[in-house]
Amino acid sequence: MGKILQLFSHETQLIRALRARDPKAQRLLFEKFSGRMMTVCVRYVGDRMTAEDILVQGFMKIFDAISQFREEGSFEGWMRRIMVNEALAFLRQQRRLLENADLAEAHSIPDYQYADEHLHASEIIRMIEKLPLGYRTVFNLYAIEGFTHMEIAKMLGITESTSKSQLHRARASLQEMVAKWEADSGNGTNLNDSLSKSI
Amino acid sequence: MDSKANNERLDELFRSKLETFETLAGDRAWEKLQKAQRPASRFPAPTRWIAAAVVAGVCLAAGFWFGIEREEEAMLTAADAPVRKENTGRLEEKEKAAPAENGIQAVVSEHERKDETAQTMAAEEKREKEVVVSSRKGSGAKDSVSPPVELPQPVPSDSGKLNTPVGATGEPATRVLVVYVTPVPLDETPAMEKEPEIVAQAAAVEEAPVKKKRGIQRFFKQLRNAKTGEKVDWEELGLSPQKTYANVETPVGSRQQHYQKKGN
Repeated sequence: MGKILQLFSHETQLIRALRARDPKAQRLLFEKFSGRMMTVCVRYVGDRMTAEDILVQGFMKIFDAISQFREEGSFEGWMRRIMVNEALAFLRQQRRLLENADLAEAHSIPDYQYADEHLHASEIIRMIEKLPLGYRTVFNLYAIEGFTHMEIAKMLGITESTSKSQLHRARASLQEMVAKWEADSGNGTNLNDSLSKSI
Repeated sequence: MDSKANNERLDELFRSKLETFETLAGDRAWEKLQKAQRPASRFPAPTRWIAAAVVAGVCLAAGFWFGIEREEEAMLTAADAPVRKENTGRLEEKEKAAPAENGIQAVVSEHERKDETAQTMAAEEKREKEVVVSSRKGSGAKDSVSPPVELPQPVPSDSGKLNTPVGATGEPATRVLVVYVTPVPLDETPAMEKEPEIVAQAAAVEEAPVKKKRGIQRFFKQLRNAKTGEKVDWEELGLSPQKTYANVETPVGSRQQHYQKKGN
């Protein structure tokens, strides 16, 4: 692996080799980015087995469409976008995008500083996985990928107001989960404070 | 405003934590990717290998078969070479008329042999005639090209005249010529009739470099000989049954000697 890394020390060289369909370059790209891309897939799909299938499909698309990458923006961002599109295409096939669930409004505001220091990414993933599919998708697209409500509405075939309301509910749900995590992890004082504030 | 700030902090928390987080993909993910990239083959791998082996085998068999046929042709051509020289004119005409096939060539050679026999007989007749001529001209005749042949001595008659008829009275009556013909074997025919050219040709044929056959061709030839009931030439195969037996026996003897030496 070390030898392969030496061969493609720069991203430009790697992209050139990928355009030439060099198997070593493809392997290197997979080794380098499969972890992050898998995280993207898991965030959207919520199931690791399905996420792996989407990851494979996404990489195949990356290898096929590498000639379309214009090297203007970030290569990783371009790949991430492909993975997101693949995940959304899967969810569209499943016809589960418009699933909705009425969740209660958030009453507790967590201590973000404590969460930032102690909350692990794997626990955050688990919290996202617990969200209903519609909430999860809009939250992922808006909060993490950075799309606007108009773009999300176009992508998912929903209205902007639906996107906004789903995002609002997703946030409320996640706040509740983070607050619960804080309570379980022993940061009781902060939780009490936040609860009293919310009351 | 508090809720907006709260939302922003929540978004930031999730974004920052997930930005660099990596979830391990399964071990089979790369294999899946490779399988998906490879176009599916119509035939499974073993079938392809078997097909390749069959094709290679057929090609080899065809190669050997044509090699043997060529060899046979070459041998036939070599055997026919002196006959061709002998009857140059007629054979060339025959060759033009007949296609160069083995069977037909064999028939042609038979015809040539018949011609040869006829020629020999004609030569014998010619020699007989020459003998007659020489007997007429006497033993000192030099116009004959043929080498002197030992003729049976004339039987002296009582009158002391050579072959004079009993009833001859000196009149020019009919003379009876008695010719003693000694059958001469074909090998002892005069040198002129043997045509030394042919001898030279035969020698040339014998000395012609024989193409060294390949090991497998030799094996196939001997196999064919065995099949047709002909004698199998073990030497050509590089095998000597006697040697083999000897080799089998040799280690035993040497071992015994070895043990004997050790015992001493």
